[in-house]
Amino acid sequence: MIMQQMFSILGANHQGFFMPKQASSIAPQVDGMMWYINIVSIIFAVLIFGFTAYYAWRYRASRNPIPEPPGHNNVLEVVWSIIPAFLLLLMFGFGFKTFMDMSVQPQAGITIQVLSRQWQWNFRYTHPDTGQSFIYDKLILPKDVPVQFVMESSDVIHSLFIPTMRMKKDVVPGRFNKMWVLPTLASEANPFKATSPEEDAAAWKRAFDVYCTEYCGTSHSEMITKALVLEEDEFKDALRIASDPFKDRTLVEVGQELYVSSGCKTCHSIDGTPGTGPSWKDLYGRTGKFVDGSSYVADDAYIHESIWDPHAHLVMGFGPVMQSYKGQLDDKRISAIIEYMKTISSHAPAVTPNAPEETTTPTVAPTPAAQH
Amino acid sequence: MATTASDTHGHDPSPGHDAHDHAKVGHGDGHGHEAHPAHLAHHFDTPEQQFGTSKLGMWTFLATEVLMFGGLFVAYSVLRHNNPEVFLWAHKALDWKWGAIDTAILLASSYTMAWGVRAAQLNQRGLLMFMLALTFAGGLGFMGIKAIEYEAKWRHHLFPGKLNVLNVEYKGQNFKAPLTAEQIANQKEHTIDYVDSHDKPAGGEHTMPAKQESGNGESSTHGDSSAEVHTPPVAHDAPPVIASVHAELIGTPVIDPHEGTANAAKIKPPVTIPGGVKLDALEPHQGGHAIVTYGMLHTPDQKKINAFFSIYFMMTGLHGFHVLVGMGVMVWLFIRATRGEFHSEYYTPVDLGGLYWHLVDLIWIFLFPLLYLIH
Amino acid sequence: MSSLAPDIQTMPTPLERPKHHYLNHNKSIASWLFTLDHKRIGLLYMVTVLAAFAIGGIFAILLRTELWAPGPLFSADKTKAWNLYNHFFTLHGAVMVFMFIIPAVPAILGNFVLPIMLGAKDVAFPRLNLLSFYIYVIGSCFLAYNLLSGVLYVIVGHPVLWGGYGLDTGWTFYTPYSTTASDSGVLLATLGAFILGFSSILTGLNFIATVHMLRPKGMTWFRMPLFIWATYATALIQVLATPVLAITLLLLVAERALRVGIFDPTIGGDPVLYQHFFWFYSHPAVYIMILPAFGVISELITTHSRRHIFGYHFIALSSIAIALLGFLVWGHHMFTSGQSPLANAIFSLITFSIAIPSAVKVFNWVATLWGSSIHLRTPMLYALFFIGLFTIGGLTGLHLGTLSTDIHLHDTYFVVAHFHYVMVGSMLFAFIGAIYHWFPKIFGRMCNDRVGQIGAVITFVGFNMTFLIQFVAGAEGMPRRYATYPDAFQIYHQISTIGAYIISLGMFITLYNWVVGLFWGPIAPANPWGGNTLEWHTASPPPYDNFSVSPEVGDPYEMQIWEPDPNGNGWVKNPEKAAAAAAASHGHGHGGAH
Repeated sequence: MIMQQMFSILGANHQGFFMPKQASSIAPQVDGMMWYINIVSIIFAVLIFGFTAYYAWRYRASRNPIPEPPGHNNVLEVVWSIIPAFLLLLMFGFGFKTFMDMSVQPQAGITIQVLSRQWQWNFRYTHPDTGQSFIYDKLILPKDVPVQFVMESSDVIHSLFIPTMRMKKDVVPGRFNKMWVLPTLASEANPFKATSPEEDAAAWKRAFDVYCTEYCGTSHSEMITKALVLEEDEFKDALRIASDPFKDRTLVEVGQELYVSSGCKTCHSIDGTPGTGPSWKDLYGRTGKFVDGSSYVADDAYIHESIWDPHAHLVMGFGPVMQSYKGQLDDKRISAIIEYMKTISSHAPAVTPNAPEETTTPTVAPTPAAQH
Repeated sequence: MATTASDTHGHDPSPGHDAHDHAKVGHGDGHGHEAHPAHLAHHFDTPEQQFGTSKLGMWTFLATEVLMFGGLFVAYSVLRHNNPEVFLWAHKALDWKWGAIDTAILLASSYTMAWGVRAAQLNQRGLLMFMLALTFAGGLGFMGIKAIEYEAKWRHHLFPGKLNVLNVEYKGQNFKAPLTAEQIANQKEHTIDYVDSHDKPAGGEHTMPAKQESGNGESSTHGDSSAEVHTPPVAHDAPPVIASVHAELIGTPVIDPHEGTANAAKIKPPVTIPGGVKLDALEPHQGGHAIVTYGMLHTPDQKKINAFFSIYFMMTGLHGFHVLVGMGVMVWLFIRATRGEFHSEYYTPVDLGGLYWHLVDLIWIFLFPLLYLIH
Repeated sequence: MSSLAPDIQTMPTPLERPKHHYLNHNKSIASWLFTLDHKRIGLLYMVTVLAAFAIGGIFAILLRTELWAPGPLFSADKTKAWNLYNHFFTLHGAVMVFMFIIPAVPAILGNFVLPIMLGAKDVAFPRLNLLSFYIYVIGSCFLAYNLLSGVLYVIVGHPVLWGGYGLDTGWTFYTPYSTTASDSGVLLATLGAFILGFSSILTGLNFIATVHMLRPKGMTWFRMPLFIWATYATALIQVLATPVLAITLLLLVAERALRVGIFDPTIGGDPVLYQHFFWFYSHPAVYIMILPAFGVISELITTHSRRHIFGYHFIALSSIAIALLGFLVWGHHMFTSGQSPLANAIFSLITFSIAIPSAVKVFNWVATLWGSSIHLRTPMLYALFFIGLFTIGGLTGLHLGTLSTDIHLHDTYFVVAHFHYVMVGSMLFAFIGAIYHWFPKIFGRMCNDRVGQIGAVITFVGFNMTFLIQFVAGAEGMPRRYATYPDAFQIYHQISTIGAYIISLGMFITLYNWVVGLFWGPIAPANPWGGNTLEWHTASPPPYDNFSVSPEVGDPYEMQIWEPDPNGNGWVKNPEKAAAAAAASHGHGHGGAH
């Protein structure tokens, strides 16, 4: 008990060599454990290296041509088994105790749903006032309030890792793995108070990294997002802003942001570069062929179907790779994406790019297969 | 791919090894040439040593086989633990009578095999050949029955994996699209005949696979089968019900986000299928346990019948493959016996082949109750 | 008479090779391809296993080169560059694990040395041995073909060779990525690994039977050399664990080809079940990799320091303990997978228990050095480096076995550094040291010791440069299997990449040294180092039947009966001392080893 407290204190005051900042309530304990293991390891390593090097020099053949007779010492064997065993038992015990602390949330807090798919994180929050849920692609966390993550994956195994919080859990399809964190360190800047896109980007850059650490395919190394920790009132403001991406912005701006935050950019370029999916450059309004030979016009209905039911019709030269965004991108967001697409397509009808709150409804009823 | 060790544990000199070497190069073991039987390999000192080594090798090989099948048994336990009703229902597609005959045949063939080994020890060449032939016939009978059983599965389209008739989502249809009445009516031909008569449900000889709309609880556009759905329909953009947050649920498999806890026993009231076919609640089986029909399976479980068929085909398939290999071994032993290669001094291959056959039998003894006799 | 062996390079009297030995016994191609001689089979393995090592090494260099800077390197198209990287690291892992590390010491050195150490003429089942080799070749062809053609596929954009879609799942093939989401050649690769597994099983089976039944009179269990104890423990694992891999891969194939659904959660399966199956084999597999290395080190240290091993019984039994305990800890690869805290705790506790026998070995080796007479020849240098590097590898395993720290370190570069310290820093160093040690026996020639030492030091420096910094990167959060990374990590990656190139320099020097030694090295005496295990009691190279005169079985570490040859040709037995030792050990009854 005393030893564990000692190590927690050690961990709290020194974050341990080469560990990230401590941003959660459990981090000092984990770092304290790292201290203990590192100290034990260094002691044993120094002993072993030291004796080996010394003996290699002291008993080299030119200096000691006649070796000693065979030796054995059962007492020594027992001693050097028992002492490490004891140290290791301590190691196990403390590690287990901290792990149990990691497994049980100390008190009630908020819940954030983690939605993972190849190769994008998204999080579902509850609006602080209306109680409605909304999706946002970055983590916003309240300081000093426990947060429980309920995690689901729509395709393969991913793993949510926040190094500064020392927490990690696999996200397994078919299960709802859960983990909790209690953030204790606020982020250095608040992008929701930024007044320009540059300030916004700079603020997000200083937030904590969030990685996917279970190999999940081509762009596994780009499945990175950020975690922002804010004081509770700032946190609520941030949620309010995040919940309504359309407020004070044009559809095109929202569409452009969705291109990044929904993960479209992973497979669709905007400059004509070929990728896993067709490039969006000059996409809207063009004609093309499906794999079965029939032709199509990339109008609003087509875009809508491609997002909600991507396997219904495949463009010639592409395979059935894309997943459906039904449930994640609603009609309004798809309209925003369509408006953005129009701005980068030479086939689109001329639009005034800064018209606020334009809503477009699909002009053609989607085909029955596209409807749920 | 399994290799049988018995065909390589023999003793024949082979190319590249000069059979005279062991006499030419003095190896100081004091053997006179006449004390060196032809079947003794050059690296062994005595026939006893060679025989003992071969047996040890064979037993080690059997241990590897046990571990390999052991993995399948573990998979079986996990799948059964996670999907108990599926196993309760799906195993009815197997006829325990055929299984029992299979068991009897294999036990008998083990007996003839053991007798064959004894015959070899006693220099009874004719008897040995006869026993080997009987054992082979036993294997043949076993595989014949397997063929009959597999053919029945084929006829009912009960394959493992996506070709299985009851996996509606794998038949190229959108997972979320409900079946039309016409499609349901067309499913009529894909029923399961209960091969053993005493398990007929009260509703008649055939049960219809119940075809409600797909299991997400989404609103159906037709039929009143939606009224029987276990959970109320949920509009597609409503926030999902998050499973209750308890520490003990951490990591628990939850089948459907819209469900409560997983794997509760679910027997449903009678359902009505568009088209007017009614499934009654079924009477208990004579043995005292309830019959579970496909229609009685909770909707998410209807997609999980693979849990049984996959492991059934894997286990019986791998076992059947081993039986075939064993039959090949019998043929080879028979041919060698014809040539008079086995006698009381040397019958190692027969002994080892016998060990292999006994293992194959033993594995089946475990497979039979686990797959056929689920209660 | 000087009691020091003079430098072997300055021998005054030239030696003559034995007239008849296993290499010139029959020189036709058929006699090699259909050989039943365990020594030749060991050599056949050496050629193929070293080729596999080269392939795996090339892809290591490729992947480290990609990691020199964030952003794509091998292609302007990001997607293609990431795909290439994913194939590279998968290929590096699969080839190294399945085609190199697992067979290396048992199949090459076990095959060659073990029967001779037992005073036997061959292994228990010579034909099975040859079959093992051909199964290895076939499995390797499947795997290598698929993996290499897959790289072509990614580069060119469409399959170039039939069926060649490569593998991008990681060597661990985790479901559901490998069963549903990967469009690479999982089937072909899995089939290759499945076939390779049988080679491993049959080799293990052969060694078990050999050790049990072909020991000579007088060689009780506790008079066996420690290399044989280690190989025997390895064989136990090979025989018991590899079949589970076989069934796992079979289930994977069925899942992928037929969608049987054992690992598919939407139809009742469980993706984490795959992980349990896979690691149930793959954790014991790492003990298959390291236990033979332990055996090698016991031999190298005793021979080159001319002292009886300290704590023989403890080292022998600790091998068995590690083999058995190794079956109980697979879940420590899955602490973050969502398995229950109770399971996590049990696996963590048992994992710590394996540290004890491993530590006991290291302490005993160091204690052997006390009071010894060390010749810092190339094999000894590798053995000493092994002790240092294995200490680091083993100690960092503690960070990963501890539950709280593992949550932070799992799937980061810390794990990568840890396993490279044990697999490369320990196992590879032991393997190279072993080849140097038994080179005179196998080929009848000596390698240049100075060049060997240089190669050892360069490899040691390069290795530490590559992997020591990765502990830091991992602790700071750098995830595994990332083709690109945040800029802050770049310095770590650049140091690592430079180190990787230095390692390959060391490897080239070593290969050069072996080739030169093979064709132009001085003739080797029967006992160049003065060891007492039975292989040194026969000629270099040995005759076809291993011994012209049946050897006397004594204590394998009774080094003192050998004295430097007055002609400078290695070491020769002193008849009075040998007789005295034989009388003394017969007086002990069995268990005469201290």
